[in-house]
Amino acid sequence: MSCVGAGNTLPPRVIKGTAPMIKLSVRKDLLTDWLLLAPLTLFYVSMVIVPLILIFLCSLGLLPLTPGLPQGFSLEGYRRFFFTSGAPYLFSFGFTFLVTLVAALLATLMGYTMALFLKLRKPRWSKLFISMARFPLFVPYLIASFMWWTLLYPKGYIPMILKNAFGFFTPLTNDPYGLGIIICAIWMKFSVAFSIMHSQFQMLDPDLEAAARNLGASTWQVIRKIYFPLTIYGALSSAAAIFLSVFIAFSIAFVHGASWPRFLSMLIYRDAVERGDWIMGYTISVIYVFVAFFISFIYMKILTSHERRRAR
Amino acid sequence: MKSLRKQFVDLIVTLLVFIYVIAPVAMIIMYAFAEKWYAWHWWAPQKLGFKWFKDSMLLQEIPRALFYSYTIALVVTSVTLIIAFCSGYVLGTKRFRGRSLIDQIANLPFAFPAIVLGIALLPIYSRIGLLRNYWGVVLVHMVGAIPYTLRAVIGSFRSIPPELEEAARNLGANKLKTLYKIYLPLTWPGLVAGAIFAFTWSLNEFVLTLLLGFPTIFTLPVNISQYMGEYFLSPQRAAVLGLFLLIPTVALLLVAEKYLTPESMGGGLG
Repeated sequence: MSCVGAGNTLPPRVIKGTAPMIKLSVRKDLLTDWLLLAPLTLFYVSMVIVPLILIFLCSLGLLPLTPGLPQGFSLEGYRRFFFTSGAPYLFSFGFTFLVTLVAALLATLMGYTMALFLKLRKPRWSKLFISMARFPLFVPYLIASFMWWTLLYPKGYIPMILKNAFGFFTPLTNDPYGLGIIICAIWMKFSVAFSIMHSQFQMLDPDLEAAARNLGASTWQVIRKIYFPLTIYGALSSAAAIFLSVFIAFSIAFVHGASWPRFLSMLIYRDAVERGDWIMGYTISVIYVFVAFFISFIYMKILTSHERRRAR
Repeated sequence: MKSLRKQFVDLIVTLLVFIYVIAPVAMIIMYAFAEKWYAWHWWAPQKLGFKWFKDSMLLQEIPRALFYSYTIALVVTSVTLIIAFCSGYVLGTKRFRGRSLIDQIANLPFAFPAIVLGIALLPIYSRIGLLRNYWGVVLVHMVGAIPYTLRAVIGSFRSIPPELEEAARNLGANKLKTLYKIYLPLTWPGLVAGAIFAFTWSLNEFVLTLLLGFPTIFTLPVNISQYMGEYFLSPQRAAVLGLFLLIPTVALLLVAEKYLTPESMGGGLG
């Protein structure tokens, strides 16, 4: 800090007796900052962190919060999850993982293709195209699930068209392959991939494509050698984000979820709420949260490396 | 100039996207307005009208569900905004130890399955008397609403030059006065966007209300689930309720998008 007065600059100095006042003011500022943060911190500690710790302790039988939990340390829930004959829980976990993976990959592919189409063709109706492609972002999960249910249930348009046009009937909702979940999740989530990829394509330096074109590159070569390497991190991060949101979703599985094998979120609901099998409800929850956090960790890693790459 | 063939291909692709996106929405609109729709005439309803709207409003539970949905959303929005404004100021303008930890804790609900939170809170709520209680539902809706609002608000705070606060402080304003006089007027687009996020989040929250509020406190999404086969099947009634949720949600989120600056979006992306 320098004091400027009457045309000459004085060297920085602290006026005698002001140092303790500055210290006091800094402390008061810090205290105010912490007080402003306190409601948020307290709220999340009590509403998220504490329940998270409690379900972990309950899954180990260390806290008999609900009836039917073992009195004392026990790995009963984990044993049943991993080693029950026929491995029904592991099977449900694998089903959930696979259905989510297929939905995330297809939604990302669809969003990517649509963004690429917009970049390459620049259609006259691009505004309408963008608005349409982003619309599902605004539709609530339960409503979107219900909307697709009206199309997919046995008397819905799609099965009726398949039946009348091709003469075959296949269940498309509450089916054993999770087709309803996949179809609905793709519609709900391709917008995420489209929005991310569209902004990525917008940010690409047009000179790169111009240079490649001048050197005689075809459209396919431009896609393969320029667009794809420069947008791969965006595609990966959208795939991870979509995977996470479908993996932890309840409404889609609630409406379209197969009766068997069950989506993991529905399995927790059935075990804990309908059957009162709290030990399994808590154990599946712990595993579910662990996997969800691991996926979000991967998502953050992809984002960080993308940021670093952009900074370079 | 594009060839006619290319323009035709562009039009076809745009039309396909339009049909793909609009088809499910068109279905619930049709269900909501279909007064008569016989199975042998599966491709279109035979009579359209407002029968299901009138019928739904005559049921005792639907006006109640509308009341609970909208009042809970309003309370959640108000409290969420206060918390997000106070903490958004610190997280968006200050650098201190522990900041990223708090930021990460606030982001936890993005990766936290709602069903897990629901069954974790169920016994706790039951013990402290918040189960099937209006305020218990408000609290649990805030868990999901705060992160979205906070992202938008932090983005707005980050877009304000810190020199403004310094100038105000040098002129003798204390922190609260600075917040009120400097930041509040400048962060309002982020606050509006955040409020809309919180409102629509609460309006559409389903599983936590089902677990912690139902059957005493039931909102529109819970009612919709009842008509989708949980109790009995009535797609027409579910479609009417779906429109009560869909139209305000889409309209509000479009408004939010208008108010969201690129900086707020940056905040949103973390």
